[in-house]
Amino acid sequence: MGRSIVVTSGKGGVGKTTLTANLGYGLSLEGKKVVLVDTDIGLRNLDVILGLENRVVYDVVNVAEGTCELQQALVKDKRLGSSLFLLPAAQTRRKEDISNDQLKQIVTALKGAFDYVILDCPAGIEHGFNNAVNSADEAVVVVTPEVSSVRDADRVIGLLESAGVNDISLVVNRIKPEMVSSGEMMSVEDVLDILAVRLLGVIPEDRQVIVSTNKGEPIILNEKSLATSAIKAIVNRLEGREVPIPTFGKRGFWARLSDAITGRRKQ
Amino acid sequence: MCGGADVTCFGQRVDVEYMATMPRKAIPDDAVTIKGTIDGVNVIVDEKYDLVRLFSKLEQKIKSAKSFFSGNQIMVSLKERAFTKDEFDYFRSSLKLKYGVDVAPLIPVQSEEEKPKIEEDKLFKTGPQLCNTKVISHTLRAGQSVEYEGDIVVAGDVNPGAEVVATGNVFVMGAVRGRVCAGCKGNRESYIIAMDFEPVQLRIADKVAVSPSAQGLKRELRTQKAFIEGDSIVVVSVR
Ligand SMILES: Nc1ncnc2c1ncn2[C@@H]1O[C@H](COP(=O)(O)OP(=O)(O)OP(=O)(O)O)[C@@H](O)[C@H]1O
Ligand SMILES: [Mg+2]
Repeated sequence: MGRSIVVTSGKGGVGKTTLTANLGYGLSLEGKKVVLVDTDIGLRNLDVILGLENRVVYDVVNVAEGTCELQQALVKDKRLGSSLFLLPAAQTRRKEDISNDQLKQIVTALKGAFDYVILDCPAGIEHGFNNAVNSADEAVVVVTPEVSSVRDADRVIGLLESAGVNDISLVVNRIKPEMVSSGEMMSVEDVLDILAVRLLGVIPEDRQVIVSTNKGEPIILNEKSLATSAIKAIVNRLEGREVPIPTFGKRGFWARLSDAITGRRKQ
Repeated sequence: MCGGADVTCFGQRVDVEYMATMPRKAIPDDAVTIKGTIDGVNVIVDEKYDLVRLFSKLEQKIKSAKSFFSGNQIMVSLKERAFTKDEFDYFRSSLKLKYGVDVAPLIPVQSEEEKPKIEEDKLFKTGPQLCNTKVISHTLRAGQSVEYEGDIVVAGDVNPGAEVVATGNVFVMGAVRGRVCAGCKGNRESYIIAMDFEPVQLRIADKVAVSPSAQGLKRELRTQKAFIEGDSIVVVSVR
């Protein structure tokens, strides 16, 4: 049986879909059989980021409704032989068009055939979120170093815990080391202080990510990108290998903020 | 009324020593207030006046509001502080004898021995007699909230966006970063103890404050206590 992992965040636009696509690539480059499930029904993106948009015929709602077989809906990423597949979301349907039981059944079936089933979760904490979260055994929470993102991630972790998903890890995305050092951005430490879950990885901000997103080519293929080594390290950690996490930026945001409040000088 | 006298009220002997210092003023109408709530009827009496006369006042009010009492849960409390056992017993037995109604204290009754000790150690004075305690064995995350009639112990942090509301005291064995309210039904003796207070809103009874951030936001875990001193909430380090 494979592992099912939901990539979630609460807050939108923090990098869930980008991470899902890249983990899919990274794990299949490691020789794993991976399927990515887009559960963001009505706002599907994963096919675009993977550059597979034109090859989508059926989607997850079709599978749930029995319009097609599960195998028929899976889109193969030919660049990787036959180790990476996508189960696309329906574009013209709503989140409510698939039930929790239906998605669970699909994920269970996929776990039988793949090493990893990675679910790209929609933003928010409504039906679509519940479906995705209740179908997975593990969760990767993506957070950006902003107060609002941390707050939403905290809410999501609480909901995951009450949904019985106890294997929760954290990816801090879009960190800007120089802003952390200058005290303008929360550090990874600040984020962990509040969220208190296992840190799976830290991905720095890199404009190359946006470029690659637009090209439909995962950043992990770009050896020059700063984000690439960070994502590869996450792949290694998922595979159970210990890789140290580098520090990004020296001084904590809160420490700086408190200096500002107390009138202490910046060092 | 003379000090230390035993007064017979409605066939019950009650020690009324504490009334010795009470001024003998006319009792205004608002010294006794009766409120209907979903939980029942709350009777709040002003302890500035002597209890026997407050009881007569209550009787007058009952006459005009008898239907209020029938079949309802009745709770009594003092305006500013908790009842002592004697005071409460007086009210309970009087109401039981005359009207056959059972009353409960709105705020837990203070036991005798506890009372004199209170002034000695300001830091650890107990507000309401420790009553029911709810223990939360994990960090409260954003969006999670706990409300309880009694004390609440959180074995973890109270994160931003989380909420803890107690009628009694709140103990946080971690950092307070979310909203905490102690004595939410008005008990000003209630307090909050935590390992760290970040600059968030604290409430005790009717007072609202933003805890100080002076020692910096990076946590040095040191036990701190927030309570009402005079007219405002203060936070002090314990030990
Ligand atoms: N490390 C990074 N550096 C720079 N840009 C990034 C990084 N990670 C993500 N982005 C950009 O952020 C944007 C949002 O990313 P993405 O679509 O993956 O977020 P999402 O969490 O899936 O959003 P939604 O909640 O809408 O589904 C994209 O334009 C992406 O290129
Ligand atoms: Mg997305």
